[in-house]
Amino acid sequence: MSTNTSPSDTAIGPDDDTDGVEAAVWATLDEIPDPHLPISLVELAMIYDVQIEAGHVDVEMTFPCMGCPAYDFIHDDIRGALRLVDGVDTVDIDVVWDPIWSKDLLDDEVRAKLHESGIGL
Amino acid sequence: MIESREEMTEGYEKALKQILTVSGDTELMSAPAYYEPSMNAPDLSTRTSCISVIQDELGHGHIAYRLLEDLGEDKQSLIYDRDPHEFRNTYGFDQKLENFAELVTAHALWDRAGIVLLSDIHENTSYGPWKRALTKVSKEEQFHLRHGETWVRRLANKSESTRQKVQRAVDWMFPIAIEWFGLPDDKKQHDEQLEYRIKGMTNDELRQEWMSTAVPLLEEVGLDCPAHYDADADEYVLEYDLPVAFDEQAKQWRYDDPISWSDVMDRWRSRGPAIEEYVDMLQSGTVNVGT
Repeated sequence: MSTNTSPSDTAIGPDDDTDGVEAAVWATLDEIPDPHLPISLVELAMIYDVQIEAGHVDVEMTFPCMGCPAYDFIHDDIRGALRLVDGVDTVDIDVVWDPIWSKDLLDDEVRAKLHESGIGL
Repeated sequence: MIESREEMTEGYEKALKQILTVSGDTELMSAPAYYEPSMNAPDLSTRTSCISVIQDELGHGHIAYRLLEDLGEDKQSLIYDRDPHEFRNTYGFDQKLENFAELVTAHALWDRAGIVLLSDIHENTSYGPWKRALTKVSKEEQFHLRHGETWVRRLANKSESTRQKVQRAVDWMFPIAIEWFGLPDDKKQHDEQLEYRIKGMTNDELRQEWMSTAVPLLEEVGLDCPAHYDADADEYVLEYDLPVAFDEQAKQWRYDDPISWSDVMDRWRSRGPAIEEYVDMLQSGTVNVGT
């Protein structure tokens, strides 16, 4: 799983001490592939934050572009995958545009994967 | 693995150029075919997905033409200087797609055929540059397929009217995909693309591979198609004798009118009703509205 830091130093991704249901939620999100690219939503730094309270999960996320062709698919994938996590009853997805997604959020390992599949950055 | 033109025999280069041209032309011609029905997508988000598919297909065409440039061809000239009948795209993209149901059926059935053909090449080809380029193409085609499957399921379940529309689309588009894989193995004397290991699977193997996922999808959503799984033979079988005549104006297959594969080749060579419009759209960069 990748842990990224935005240009404004806002932490993106799980904290080091994340455990329990929250860790399971992050691990599940890290298994959801982007429908267009050979990397996960977490690797693509689209998931900004996860909050859990009494079985309810709030996922704060963004999209690399506002007209994402897979906008609905990605919502469906997140809801579908998180419903199967023990301790999760309901899911809300909050799409935010601040901080703005940037390819600077991608770490070297992810860049290598994209490069290998013919995608330039 | 072959990496450059210098390593190829004349025969290898000719066979490679031929299959790359078919692949590039098919990707390119899907763009104008998908354009009009994409504009009639039922909501903005779906339209965005449909337009993204078109953008991907143009990118895939670019990849094939770029590979052809390594073999001495000129991309600009391949796209802008050929007459409609000189393009080598699959016959399906010579047809007019007239509504959203036909568009998503194309994503679900024809993009699936593209995936089957290109996955085989991705896995088995002896030409290194093509193998590497197909990593990106394969991933993107999966998105097209998912879009098609999602919408075929939705239309099949939404109302009787939408179910009938997608059924009508399947009725003429399913057999086009069956034909797409070409001559049956027992009628093909030799296959240079197979002998040079440019591809790995025979026509019948590829057709089976396609049916093994296309038929279960259609059965799952209660749509009819002229094929089923035969447990005794352990394979998918067609419920008609391939090949049969196609009335391209009415978009109807005449199952009681058997033809020869030579007739099929003649039909393909004559090209379908929309090819001139599609090539004009690509070469002029304009769309005729209201015609």
